[in-house]
Amino acid sequence: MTRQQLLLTVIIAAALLALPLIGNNYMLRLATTTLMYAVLAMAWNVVGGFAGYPLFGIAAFFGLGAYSGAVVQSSGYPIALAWLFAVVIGTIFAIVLGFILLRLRGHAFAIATLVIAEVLRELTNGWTDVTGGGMGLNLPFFGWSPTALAVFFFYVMLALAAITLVTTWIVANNRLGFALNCIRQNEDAANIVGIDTTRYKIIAFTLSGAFAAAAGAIYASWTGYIEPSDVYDVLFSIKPIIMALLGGMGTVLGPVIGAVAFLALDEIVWRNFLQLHTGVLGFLIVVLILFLPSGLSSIGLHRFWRKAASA
Amino acid sequence: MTALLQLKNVSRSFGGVRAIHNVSLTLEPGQIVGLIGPNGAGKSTLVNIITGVHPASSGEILHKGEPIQRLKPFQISARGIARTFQVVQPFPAMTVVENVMAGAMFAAGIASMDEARRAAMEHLAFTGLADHADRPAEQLTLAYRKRLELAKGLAMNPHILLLDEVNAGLNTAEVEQALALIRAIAARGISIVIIEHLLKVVTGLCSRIIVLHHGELIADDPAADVIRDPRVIEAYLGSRFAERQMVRQ
Amino acid sequence: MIFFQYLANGLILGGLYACIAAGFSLVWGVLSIINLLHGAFIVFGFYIAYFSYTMLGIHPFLSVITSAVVLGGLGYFIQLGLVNRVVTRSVLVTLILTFGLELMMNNAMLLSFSADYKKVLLEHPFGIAHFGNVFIPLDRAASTVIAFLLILLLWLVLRLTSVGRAIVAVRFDREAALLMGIDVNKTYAMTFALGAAMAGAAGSLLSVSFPVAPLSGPLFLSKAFVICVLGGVGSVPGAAVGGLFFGLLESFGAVLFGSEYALTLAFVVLIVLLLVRPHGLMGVKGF
Repeated sequence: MTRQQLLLTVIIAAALLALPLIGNNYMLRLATTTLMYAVLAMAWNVVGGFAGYPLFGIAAFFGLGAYSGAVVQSSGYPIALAWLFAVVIGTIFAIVLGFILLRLRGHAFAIATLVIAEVLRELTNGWTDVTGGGMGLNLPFFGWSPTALAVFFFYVMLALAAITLVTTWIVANNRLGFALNCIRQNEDAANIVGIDTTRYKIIAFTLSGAFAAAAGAIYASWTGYIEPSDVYDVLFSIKPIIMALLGGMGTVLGPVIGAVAFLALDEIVWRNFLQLHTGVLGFLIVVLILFLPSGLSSIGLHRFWRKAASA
Repeated sequence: MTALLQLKNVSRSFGGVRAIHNVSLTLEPGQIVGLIGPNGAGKSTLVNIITGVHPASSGEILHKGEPIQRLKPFQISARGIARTFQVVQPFPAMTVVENVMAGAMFAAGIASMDEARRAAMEHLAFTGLADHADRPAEQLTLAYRKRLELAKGLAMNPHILLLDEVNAGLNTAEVEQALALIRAIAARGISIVIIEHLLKVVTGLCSRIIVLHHGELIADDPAADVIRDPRVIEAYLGSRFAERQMVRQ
Repeated sequence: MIFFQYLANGLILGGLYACIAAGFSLVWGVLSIINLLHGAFIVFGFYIAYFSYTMLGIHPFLSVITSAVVLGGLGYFIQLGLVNRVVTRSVLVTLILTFGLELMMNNAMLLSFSADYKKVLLEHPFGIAHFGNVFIPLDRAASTVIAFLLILLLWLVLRLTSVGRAIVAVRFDREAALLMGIDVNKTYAMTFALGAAMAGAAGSLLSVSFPVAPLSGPLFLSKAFVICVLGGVGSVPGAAVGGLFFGLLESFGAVLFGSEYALTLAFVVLIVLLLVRPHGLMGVKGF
């Protein structure tokens, strides 16, 4: 990392840490949401950007993490344990699913992952005894003030985002990242050159799943109430992809930049076009795809974006 | 002593088509062996089977006495059997040196990325590509791409190198350079199997030539004898020409 | 025996499912695009039938024609104007594009038609026939028959018309087709149009049997996907076989596991199939 990038990072980090002192609850909520999506986008990026496998069902892990954590928490266990449990479940599920699905490529992989999220939703909906089914699951209330809660969850999500960022950076700069890069460009050649592609793909998939599950678990605790159609919503699968595409797929900071840019845009759209919200979102997606093939760096300032995105 | 590589009655069918039928051969250390045959004879398929890209339908492949026919390509590479591709397959978005680093890091098992880079630079120097190290691989001309294939193969630290049509598309001067490089590689103690369909190239380079035709091994002789083998002549030039040769003899 | 009832139900469902999947399979096989709009097209076809009946008294079966024409035209222009620009790009890009378009179409339908489920209640239904202990609602049976006729029609178009043969040529070898002078862009647009037309027709046929709302789209899409993979991507007969299989699976599966698990069951079958026979039940060959 260059001196400039380091300085910029420190400034941003300081600003983020100080945010609760200067912002109100609404801003904190927005910031927490942005951080959560940044985590999801970075998680997606490991499989979709580095390895080149178009993952369309990260909501499966998000929802699984949300419910795993929520069930443990509402059984009276401490919140940290609930989150840890969610990560463990997400990891195991990712390993098993990875074995099955990573044999598929391209379209088949994409849609299979999409359908998995739907299937999990169906199963969660049906398992009423444990999950509350369609009536949702309420999580025990802390008894803290709204401000205290907002600040708490902001810092928690910030911590998760930081961990995810550091992990992504480590992956990108060592053998795993190199291997994934090879796999993305030419999987057959990667095999020939000595890369155990199955193993590396599963590792990448597991990282994605674990981080997404963690984000889901924290989300559940944060919102206090979850239901299947909320946490398994296909938009949780698609938005992170848009963000990664926007900021620069396959780079370290790209997903983060994309998350910030997207949510800023989303706020504007939401305030002005409430009823057309999804429609306008769709429209922006279409514009992005048709006119900005390399994400934001298509707009110009190529070198700025590339430097910003690849730490 | 056990042969370096041994194929015993290896066969491979795709659907109803017999691509390789009952091929048996042995490779000793330090040999340069030519593998020739008309188009469609099964040469590339045989290489694919040895390197684990396609499984053999039956038969055994022994490497230093150990069976390898069930192993995956990355495991076979790690054991020291490398190959180049006829249609060059680089990692397009990576630089030349990164392409070579891949083999060094994974097949040859170098743990540190810096060390892998150093090893890669050595291999690039050996193949004459050092100046192009940081160029994107897809920008190389065909002759240089073939050299990149060689460098990638060497980076895997092989003791057996299977070269699949390294000369396809090269002009005479480039072919000469390629052959010189191959001799230099052999001089390092690496056994080489070179697939060619130009007889001329192979006789100049190889001590021994194996001939495939319709998936079957029809000759496995010292170079000088092979070109006079009537079955080989028939395979390449047709039966009438072969008959004429027979009559003359 | 109750087995025959489920069998009958399954076959009837199967025909509709086949119709849902045939167009999707065609587009996927020829353009290599998974069209996430497909579900929305089906829903739109439903609304055309619904409003034609409730406002104009036109029987949904006649709306099959209207839907096919309207959706076909819509599909043609969407492909030519938008999708065609990304046809050569990655899976990710094409999926996201059709997703974005789907969001727009969905939002439009939501605003125009509201989110609640609607169903066509025929004033003069064909009634129910019994064969022993098996009850067959004739309207549904008629939709299935029409569905199969449509699939047959599609298959004939592909085999006998010059447009159809151009589509098959492009599907097998795009470069060769180009060299033979086929206008690949127009062919792509026609393929997409045919896919959309089939979807619209399917939606109209569904209207007499099932309640539909804007958010039914993704469910239809998932099922179409599974059926395509079952039957072999790009194969119209494959979609027919896959559809029947899926209909039977759902019918019997509902008994064994409960109808809420329809998709889960389908998915399990899909995974097993993908692991065992990656080319689907019919393989890549048939067209």
